[in-house]
Amino acid sequence: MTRNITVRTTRSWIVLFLRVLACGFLIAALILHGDLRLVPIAIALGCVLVLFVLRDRTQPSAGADWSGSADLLLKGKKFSGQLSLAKGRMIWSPTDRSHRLGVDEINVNIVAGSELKLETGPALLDVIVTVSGTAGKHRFLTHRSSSLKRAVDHLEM
Amino acid sequence: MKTLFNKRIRQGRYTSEIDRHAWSTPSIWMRTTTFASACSINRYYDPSTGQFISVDPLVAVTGQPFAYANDNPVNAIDPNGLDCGFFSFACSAYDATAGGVTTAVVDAGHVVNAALPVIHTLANSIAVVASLCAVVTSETVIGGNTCGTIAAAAGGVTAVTGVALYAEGRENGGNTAVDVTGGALGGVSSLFEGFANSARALQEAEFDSGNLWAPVRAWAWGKFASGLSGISRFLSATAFGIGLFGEFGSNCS
Repeated sequence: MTRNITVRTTRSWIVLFLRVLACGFLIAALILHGDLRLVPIAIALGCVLVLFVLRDRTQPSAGADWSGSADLLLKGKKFSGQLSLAKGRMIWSPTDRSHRLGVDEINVNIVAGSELKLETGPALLDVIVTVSGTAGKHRFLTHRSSSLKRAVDHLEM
Repeated sequence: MKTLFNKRIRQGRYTSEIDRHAWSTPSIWMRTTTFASACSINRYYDPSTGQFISVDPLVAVTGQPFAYANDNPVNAIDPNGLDCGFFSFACSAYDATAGGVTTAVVDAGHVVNAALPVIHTLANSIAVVASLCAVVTSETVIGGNTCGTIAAAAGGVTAVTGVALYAEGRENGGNTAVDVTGGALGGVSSLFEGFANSARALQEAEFDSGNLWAPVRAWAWGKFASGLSGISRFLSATAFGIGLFGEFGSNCS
Protein backbone atom coordinates (compact mmCIF):
# COMPACT_ATOMS: atom_id res chain seq x y z
CA MET A 1 0.00 0.00 0.00
CA THR A 2 1.20 3.51 -0.80
CA ARG A 3 0.00 6.11 1.68
CA ASN A 4 1.92 8.99 0.14
CA ILE A 5 0.74 10.69 -3.02
CA THR A 6 3.09 9.69 -5.79
CA VAL A 7 4.29 12.24 -8.32
CA ARG A 8 2.51 12.73 -11.62
CA THR A 9 3.48 10.76 -14.68
CA THR A 10 5.27 12.26 -17.69
CA ARG A 11 1.97 12.30 -19.59
CA SER A 12 0.30 14.26 -16.79
CA TRP A 13 3.20 16.73 -16.72
CA ILE A 14 2.80 17.29 -20.46
CA VAL A 15 -0.96 17.86 -20.09
CA LEU A 16 -0.37 20.31 -17.22
CA PHE A 17 2.34 22.12 -19.18
CA LEU A 18 0.05 22.43 -22.23
CA ARG A 19 -2.80 23.67 -20.07
CA VAL A 20 -0.65 26.34 -18.43
CA LEU A 21 0.66 27.36 -21.85
CA ALA A 22 -2.86 27.48 -23.34
CA CYS A 23 -4.05 29.53 -20.38
CA GLY A 24 -1.12 31.93 -20.81
CA PHE A 25 -1.84 32.42 -24.50
CA LEU A 26 -5.56 32.90 -23.94
CA ILE A 27 -4.88 35.51 -21.23
CA ALA A 28 -2.39 37.21 -23.57
CA ALA A 29 -5.08 37.22 -26.29
CA LEU A 30 -7.50 38.88 -23.88
CA ILE A 31 -4.93 41.54 -22.95
CA LEU A 32 -3.96 42.16 -26.59
CA HIS A 33 -7.56 43.02 -27.37
CA GLY A 34 -7.19 45.85 -24.90
CA ASP A 35 -9.42 44.35 -22.27
CA LEU A 36 -6.95 44.32 -19.41
CA ARG A 37 -9.76 44.83 -16.91
CA LEU A 38 -11.29 41.51 -17.96
CA VAL A 39 -8.29 39.54 -16.69
CA PRO A 40 -8.89 39.94 -12.91
CA ILE A 41 -12.60 39.33 -13.51
CA ALA A 42 -11.74 36.16 -15.45
CA ILE A 43 -9.40 34.98 -12.68
CA ALA A 44 -12.13 35.58 -10.07
CA LEU A 45 -14.65 33.67 -12.21
CA GLY A 46 -12.09 30.90 -12.70
CA CYS A 47 -11.79 30.54 -8.91
CA VAL A 48 -15.60 30.42 -8.60
CA LEU A 49 -15.69 27.75 -11.33
CA VAL A 50 -13.10 25.67 -9.45
CA LEU A 51 -15.23 25.87 -6.28
CA PHE A 52 -18.26 24.85 -8.36
CA VAL A 53 -16.35 21.84 -9.76
CA LEU A 54 -15.21 20.73 -6.32
CA ARG A 55 -18.68 20.99 -4.75
CA ASP A 56 -20.29 18.00 -3.06
CA ARG A 57 -22.12 16.05 -5.76
CA THR A 58 -24.31 13.95 -3.48
CA GLN A 59 -24.80 13.52 0.25
CA PRO A 60 -21.65 12.19 1.94
CA SER A 61 -22.02 8.72 3.41
CA ALA A 62 -22.86 8.52 7.12
CA GLY A 63 -19.84 8.22 9.38
CA ALA A 64 -17.37 9.26 6.71
CA ASP A 65 -14.00 10.62 7.85
CA TRP A 66 -13.63 12.39 4.55
CA SER A 67 -15.91 13.04 1.64
CA GLY A 68 -15.43 14.94 -1.55
CA SER A 69 -16.41 15.11 -5.19
CA ALA A 70 -14.78 12.39 -7.26
CA ASP A 71 -15.10 11.08 -10.79
CA LEU A 72 -15.07 7.34 -11.38
CA LEU A 73 -12.55 6.59 -14.13
CA LEU A 74 -13.96 3.72 -16.08
CA LYS A 75 -12.95 2.60 -19.57
CA GLY A 76 -11.49 5.98 -20.43
CA LYS A 77 -14.64 7.85 -19.33
CA LYS A 78 -15.40 9.98 -16.29
CA PHE A 79 -18.54 9.55 -14.20
CA SER A 80 -19.16 12.20 -11.57
CA GLY A 81 -20.01 11.28 -8.00
CA GLN A 82 -19.03 11.60 -4.37
CA LEU A 83 -16.27 9.62 -2.68
CA SER A 84 -16.47 8.95 1.05
CA LEU A 85 -13.82 7.34 3.22
CA ALA A 86 -14.94 5.70 6.43
CA LYS A 87 -13.17 3.29 8.75
CA GLY A 88 -12.40 0.22 6.64
CA ARG A 89 -14.67 1.32 3.81
CA MET A 90 -14.56 3.40 0.67
CA ILE A 91 -17.91 4.39 -0.85
CA TRP A 92 -18.44 6.12 -4.16
CA SER A 93 -21.97 7.38 -4.80
CA PRO A 94 -22.89 8.32 -8.38
CA THR A 95 -24.76 11.48 -9.30
CA ASP A 96 -28.17 11.12 -10.91
CA ARG A 97 -26.58 11.54 -14.34
CA SER A 98 -23.97 8.83 -13.71
CA HIS A 99 -26.71 6.58 -12.35
CA ARG A 100 -28.74 7.12 -15.52
CA LEU A 101 -25.67 6.10 -17.51
CA GLY A 102 -25.73 2.76 -15.74
CA VAL A 103 -23.12 3.27 -13.04
CA ASP A 104 -24.10 2.06 -9.57
CA GLU A 105 -22.72 2.80 -6.13
CA ILE A 106 -19.34 1.27 -5.37
CA ASN A 107 -18.71 0.06 -1.86
CA VAL A 108 -15.22 -1.30 -1.24
CA ASN A 109 -14.30 -3.01 2.00
CA ILE A 110 -10.72 -2.17 2.80
CA VAL A 111 -9.38 -5.38 4.25
CA ALA A 112 -5.95 -6.90 4.67
CA GLY A 113 -4.48 -7.43 1.23
CA SER A 114 -6.26 -4.47 -0.30
CA GLU A 115 -4.07 -2.06 -2.13
CA LEU A 116 -4.57 1.67 -2.12
CA LYS A 117 -2.54 3.96 -4.33
CA LEU A 118 -2.64 7.75 -4.56
CA GLU A 119 -1.05 9.62 -7.43
CA THR A 120 -1.27 13.17 -8.69
CA GLY A 121 -3.22 13.80 -11.89
CA PRO A 122 -2.84 16.20 -14.80
CA ALA A 123 -4.06 19.26 -12.87
CA LEU A 124 -2.62 20.90 -9.76
CA LEU A 125 -5.21 19.58 -7.28
CA ASP A 126 -5.88 16.23 -8.97
CA VAL A 127 -5.41 13.06 -6.99
CA ILE A 128 -6.11 9.69 -8.56
CA VAL A 129 -7.10 7.08 -5.99
CA THR A 130 -6.67 3.49 -7.10
CA VAL A 131 -8.10 0.82 -4.84
CA SER A 132 -7.68 -2.89 -5.50
CA GLY A 133 -9.35 -5.55 -3.48
CA THR A 134 -11.50 -8.61 -3.72
CA ALA A 135 -14.17 -6.63 -5.61
CA GLY A 136 -11.69 -5.63 -8.32
CA LYS A 137 -9.86 -2.47 -9.09
CA HIS A 138 -11.44 0.99 -9.09
CA ARG A 139 -9.96 4.35 -9.95
CA PHE A 140 -11.31 7.69 -8.79
CA LEU A 141 -10.24 11.21 -9.68
CA THR A 142 -10.61 13.53 -6.74
CA HIS A 143 -8.80 16.55 -5.36
CA ARG A 144 -5.98 17.05 -2.92
CA SER A 145 -6.68 18.14 0.65
CA SER A 146 -4.99 17.65 3.99
CA SER A 147 -8.07 15.89 5.36
CA LEU A 148 -7.92 13.34 2.52
CA LYS A 149 -4.44 12.29 3.57
CA ARG A 150 -5.55 12.00 7.21
CA ALA A 151 -8.59 9.95 6.21
CA VAL A 152 -6.42 7.59 4.16
CA ASP A 153 -4.09 7.20 7.12
CA HIS A 154 -7.07 6.21 9.27
CA LEU A 155 -8.19 3.50 6.87
CA GLU A 156 -7.48 0.12 8.40
CA MET A 157 -5.91 -2.44 6.15
CA MET B 1 -22.68 55.23 -51.77
CA LYS B 2 -24.41 52.27 -50.16
CA THR B 3 -27.29 54.49 -49.13
CA LEU B 4 -27.48 56.01 -52.58
CA PHE B 5 -27.75 52.64 -54.31
CA ASN B 6 -30.18 51.32 -51.76
CA LYS B 7 -32.35 54.32 -52.56
CA ARG B 8 -32.13 53.59 -56.26
CA ILE B 9 -33.13 50.01 -55.67
CA ARG B 10 -36.18 51.10 -53.80
CA GLN B 11 -37.04 53.33 -56.73
CA GLY B 12 -36.97 50.23 -58.95
CA ARG B 13 -34.31 51.43 -61.40
CA TYR B 14 -31.70 48.74 -60.85
CA THR B 15 -33.21 45.90 -62.89
CA SER B 16 -32.88 47.59 -66.25
CA GLU B 17 -29.35 48.64 -65.39
CA ILE B 18 -28.36 45.07 -64.71
CA ASP B 19 -30.26 43.79 -67.72
CA ARG B 20 -28.42 46.25 -69.96
CA HIS B 21 -25.09 44.90 -68.82
CA ALA B 22 -26.19 41.30 -68.78
CA TRP B 23 -27.10 40.51 -72.36
CA SER B 24 -23.57 39.70 -73.47
CA THR B 25 -23.25 36.69 -71.15
CA PRO B 26 -26.65 35.06 -70.67
CA SER B 27 -25.56 32.42 -68.17
CA ILE B 28 -24.26 34.99 -65.75
CA TRP B 29 -27.19 37.25 -66.56
CA MET B 30 -29.51 34.50 -65.30
CA ARG B 31 -27.70 34.38 -62.02
CA THR B 32 -27.41 38.11 -61.80
CA THR B 33 -31.09 38.69 -62.37
CA THR B 34 -31.79 36.11 -59.71
CA PHE B 35 -29.68 38.19 -57.37
CA ALA B 36 -31.42 41.31 -58.52
CA SER B 37 -34.75 39.93 -57.48
CA ALA B 38 -33.35 38.45 -54.32
CA CYS B 39 -30.39 40.23 -52.87
CA SER B 40 -28.20 42.19 -55.26
CA ILE B 41 -28.98 45.33 -53.40
CA ASN B 42 -25.83 47.32 -53.00
CA ARG B 43 -23.93 47.47 -56.28
CA TYR B 44 -24.22 47.18 -60.07
CA TYR B 45 -22.49 44.35 -61.90
CA ASP B 46 -21.18 44.23 -65.48
CA PRO B 47 -21.04 40.57 -66.63
CA SER B 48 -19.21 41.49 -69.84
CA THR B 49 -16.16 42.44 -67.79
CA GLY B 50 -16.87 40.28 -64.76
CA GLN B 51 -16.57 43.36 -62.55
CA PHE B 52 -18.82 45.54 -60.47
CA ILE B 53 -19.30 48.96 -62.01
CA SER B 54 -19.74 50.63 -58.65
CA VAL B 55 -17.15 50.73 -55.90
CA ASP B 56 -17.42 48.20 -53.08
CA PRO B 57 -18.87 50.03 -50.06
CA LEU B 58 -16.51 47.91 -47.97
CA VAL B 59 -13.44 48.63 -50.09
CA ALA B 60 -11.51 49.62 -46.98
CA VAL B 61 -11.93 46.05 -45.77
CA THR B 62 -11.76 44.09 -49.02
CA GLY B 63 -9.15 46.20 -50.81
CA GLN B 64 -10.94 45.38 -54.09
CA PRO B 65 -13.09 48.25 -55.39
CA PHE B 66 -14.57 46.51 -58.46
CA ALA B 67 -13.67 42.79 -58.36
CA TYR B 68 -16.65 40.45 -58.40
CA ALA B 69 -16.49 37.28 -56.26
CA ASN B 70 -12.72 37.36 -55.96
CA ASP B 71 -12.48 37.52 -59.78
CA ASN B 72 -14.07 34.08 -59.99
CA PRO B 73 -17.64 34.75 -61.19
CA VAL B 74 -18.23 31.26 -62.58
CA ASN B 75 -17.60 29.39 -59.35
CA ALA B 76 -18.47 32.04 -56.79
CA ILE B 77 -21.18 34.59 -56.25
CA ASP B 78 -21.65 37.80 -54.35
CA PRO B 79 -25.40 38.08 -53.87
CA ASN B 80 -25.60 41.56 -52.42
CA GLY B 81 -22.35 43.11 -53.58
CA LEU B 82 -20.89 43.27 -50.10
CA ASP B 83 -18.07 41.33 -48.53
CA CYS B 84 -19.53 38.23 -46.96
CA GLY B 85 -16.43 38.01 -44.84
CA PHE B 86 -15.20 34.85 -43.22
CA PHE B 87 -18.73 33.49 -42.91
CA SER B 88 -19.16 33.05 -46.63
CA PHE B 89 -21.15 29.90 -45.98
CA ALA B 90 -24.23 31.94 -46.83
CA CYS B 91 -22.93 32.47 -50.36
CA SER B 92 -21.99 28.80 -50.65
CA ALA B 93 -25.50 27.84 -49.55
CA TYR B 94 -26.91 30.20 -52.15
CA ASP B 95 -24.71 28.56 -54.79
CA ALA B 96 -25.57 25.03 -53.70
CA THR B 97 -29.29 25.61 -53.88
CA ALA B 98 -29.11 27.67 -57.08
CA GLY B 99 -30.68 30.64 -55.42
CA GLY B 100 -33.13 28.70 -53.30
CA VAL B 101 -31.81 30.29 -50.14
CA THR B 102 -33.31 33.67 -49.53
CA THR B 103 -31.55 36.87 -48.63
CA ALA B 104 -32.34 36.17 -45.00
CA VAL B 105 -29.58 33.56 -44.98
CA VAL B 106 -27.10 35.92 -46.57
CA ASP B 107 -28.14 38.65 -44.16
CA ALA B 108 -27.65 36.21 -41.29
CA GLY B 109 -24.07 35.73 -42.49
CA HIS B 110 -23.56 39.49 -42.36
CA VAL B 111 -25.08 39.71 -38.88
CA VAL B 112 -22.73 36.99 -37.62
CA ASN B 113 -19.88 38.77 -39.35
CA ALA B 114 -20.78 42.04 -37.67
CA ALA B 115 -21.01 40.28 -34.30
CA LEU B 116 -17.58 38.66 -34.70
CA PRO B 117 -15.69 40.97 -32.30
CA VAL B 118 -18.27 40.38 -29.54
CA ILE B 119 -18.29 36.60 -30.14
CA HIS B 120 -14.49 36.64 -30.16
CA THR B 121 -14.13 38.50 -26.87
CA LEU B 122 -16.85 36.44 -25.21
CA ALA B 123 -15.28 33.13 -26.33
CA ASN B 124 -11.85 34.38 -25.27
CA SER B 125 -13.16 35.31 -21.80
CA ILE B 126 -14.88 31.92 -21.36
CA ALA B 127 -11.71 30.17 -22.56
CA VAL B 128 -9.60 32.04 -20.00
CA VAL B 129 -11.98 31.23 -17.13
CA ALA B 130 -12.20 27.56 -18.13
CA SER B 131 -8.48 27.17 -18.81
CA LEU B 132 -7.64 28.63 -15.39
CA CYS B 133 -9.99 26.05 -13.88
CA ALA B 134 -8.45 23.29 -16.05
CA VAL B 135 -5.01 24.04 -14.62
CA VAL B 136 -6.39 23.48 -11.10
CA THR B 137 -8.69 20.49 -11.57
CA SER B 138 -9.61 17.82 -14.16
CA GLU B 139 -12.86 16.80 -12.51
CA THR B 140 -16.11 17.05 -14.47
CA VAL B 141 -18.00 20.32 -14.23
CA ILE B 142 -21.41 19.38 -15.51
CA GLY B 143 -22.77 16.77 -17.88
CA GLY B 144 -19.49 14.88 -18.08
CA ASN B 145 -17.59 17.90 -19.38
CA THR B 146 -14.42 19.09 -17.73
CA CYS B 147 -13.03 22.62 -17.60
CA GLY B 148 -10.45 21.38 -20.11
CA THR B 149 -13.07 20.47 -22.72
CA ILE B 150 -14.88 23.79 -22.21
CA ALA B 151 -11.56 25.64 -22.55
CA ALA B 152 -10.77 23.71 -25.72
CA ALA B 153 -14.17 24.48 -27.26
CA ALA B 154 -14.12 28.16 -26.32
CA GLY B 155 -10.46 28.36 -27.36
CA GLY B 156 -11.43 26.92 -30.74
CA VAL B 157 -14.09 29.59 -31.21
CA THR B 158 -11.55 32.22 -30.15
CA ALA B 159 -9.07 30.92 -32.71
CA VAL B 160 -11.58 30.72 -35.58
CA THR B 161 -13.10 34.14 -34.91
CA GLY B 162 -9.58 35.54 -34.48
CA VAL B 163 -8.62 34.27 -37.93
CA ALA B 164 -11.90 35.63 -39.32
CA LEU B 165 -11.15 39.06 -37.91
CA TYR B 166 -7.63 38.87 -39.30
CA ALA B 167 -8.94 37.85 -42.73
CA GLU B 168 -11.06 40.97 -42.74
CA GLY B 169 -8.26 43.21 -41.56
CA ARG B 170 -9.93 43.83 -38.22
CA GLU B 171 -7.16 42.19 -36.21
CA ASN B 172 -3.41 42.08 -36.74
CA GLY B 173 -1.49 38.88 -37.42
CA GLY B 174 0.30 38.84 -34.05
CA ASN B 175 -2.96 38.87 -32.09
CA THR B 176 -4.40 36.16 -34.32
CA ALA B 177 -1.34 33.97 -33.84
CA VAL B 178 -1.82 34.25 -30.07
CA ASP B 179 -5.55 33.40 -30.41
CA VAL B 180 -4.89 30.36 -32.58
CA THR B 181 -2.00 29.09 -30.45
CA GLY B 182 -4.05 29.39 -27.25
CA GLY B 183 -7.06 27.65 -28.77
CA ALA B 184 -5.01 24.91 -30.41
CA LEU B 185 -3.00 24.22 -27.25
CA GLY B 186 -6.21 23.93 -25.24
CA GLY B 187 -7.51 21.40 -27.74
CA VAL B 188 -4.31 19.40 -27.88
CA SER B 189 -4.06 19.18 -24.08
CA SER B 190 -7.64 17.84 -23.93
CA LEU B 191 -6.92 15.34 -26.70
CA PHE B 192 -3.78 14.26 -24.91
CA GLU B 193 -5.65 13.75 -21.65
CA GLY B 194 -8.36 11.73 -23.41
CA PHE B 195 -5.86 9.47 -25.13
CA ALA B 196 -3.88 9.07 -21.94
CA ASN B 197 -7.05 7.85 -20.19
CA SER B 198 -7.92 5.47 -23.04
CA ALA B 199 -4.43 4.00 -23.18
CA ARG B 200 -4.44 3.49 -19.45
CA ALA B 201 -7.88 1.82 -19.57
CA LEU B 202 -6.73 -0.62 -22.26
CA GLN B 203 -3.57 -1.40 -20.35
CA GLU B 204 -5.51 -2.01 -17.16
CA ALA B 205 -7.99 -4.25 -18.94
CA GLU B 206 -5.06 -6.41 -20.00
CA PHE B 207 -3.55 -6.48 -16.53
CA ASP B 208 -6.93 -7.38 -15.04
CA SER B 209 -7.39 -10.25 -17.47
CA GLY B 210 -4.71 -12.27 -15.66
CA ASN B 211 -3.45 -13.64 -18.96
CA LEU B 212 0.16 -14.81 -19.12
CA TRP B 213 0.86 -12.43 -21.98
CA ALA B 214 -1.05 -9.58 -20.38
CA PRO B 215 2.02 -7.45 -19.55
CA VAL B 216 3.28 -7.73 -23.13
CA ARG B 217 -0.14 -6.98 -24.59
CA ALA B 218 -0.60 -4.09 -22.15
CA TRP B 219 2.73 -2.67 -23.28
CA ALA B 220 1.67 -3.11 -26.91
CA TRP B 221 -1.69 -1.43 -26.27
CA GLY B 222 0.11 1.45 -24.59
CA LYS B 223 2.44 1.91 -27.57
CA PHE B 224 -0.44 1.51 -30.02
CA ALA B 225 -2.57 4.09 -28.19
CA SER B 226 0.37 6.47 -27.99
CA GLY B 227 0.99 6.09 -31.71
CA LEU B 228 -2.69 6.64 -32.44
CA SER B 229 -2.75 9.73 -30.28
CA GLY B 230 0.22 11.11 -32.20
CA ILE B 231 -1.47 10.47 -35.54
CA SER B 232 -4.77 11.89 -34.30
CA ARG B 233 -3.10 15.02 -33.05
CA PHE B 234 -1.38 15.45 -36.39
CA LEU B 235 -4.64 14.85 -38.27
CA SER B 236 -6.64 17.17 -36.04
CA ALA B 237 -4.03 19.89 -36.38
CA THR B 238 -4.02 19.45 -40.16
CA ALA B 239 -7.82 19.43 -40.31
CA PHE B 240 -7.87 22.50 -38.10
CA GLY B 241 -5.52 24.30 -40.46
CA ILE B 242 -7.40 23.19 -43.58
CA GLY B 243 -10.68 24.19 -41.98
CA LEU B 244 -9.38 27.64 -41.22
CA PHE B 245 -7.69 28.39 -44.48
CA GLY B 246 -10.25 26.57 -46.63
CA GLU B 247 -12.69 29.32 -45.76
CA PHE B 248 -10.62 31.85 -47.65
CA GLY B 249 -11.22 29.99 -50.90
CA SER B 250 -14.93 30.77 -50.94
CA ASN B 251 -14.67 34.30 -49.64
CA CYS B 252 -16.98 36.31 -51.88
CA SER B 253 -15.55 39.78 -51.50
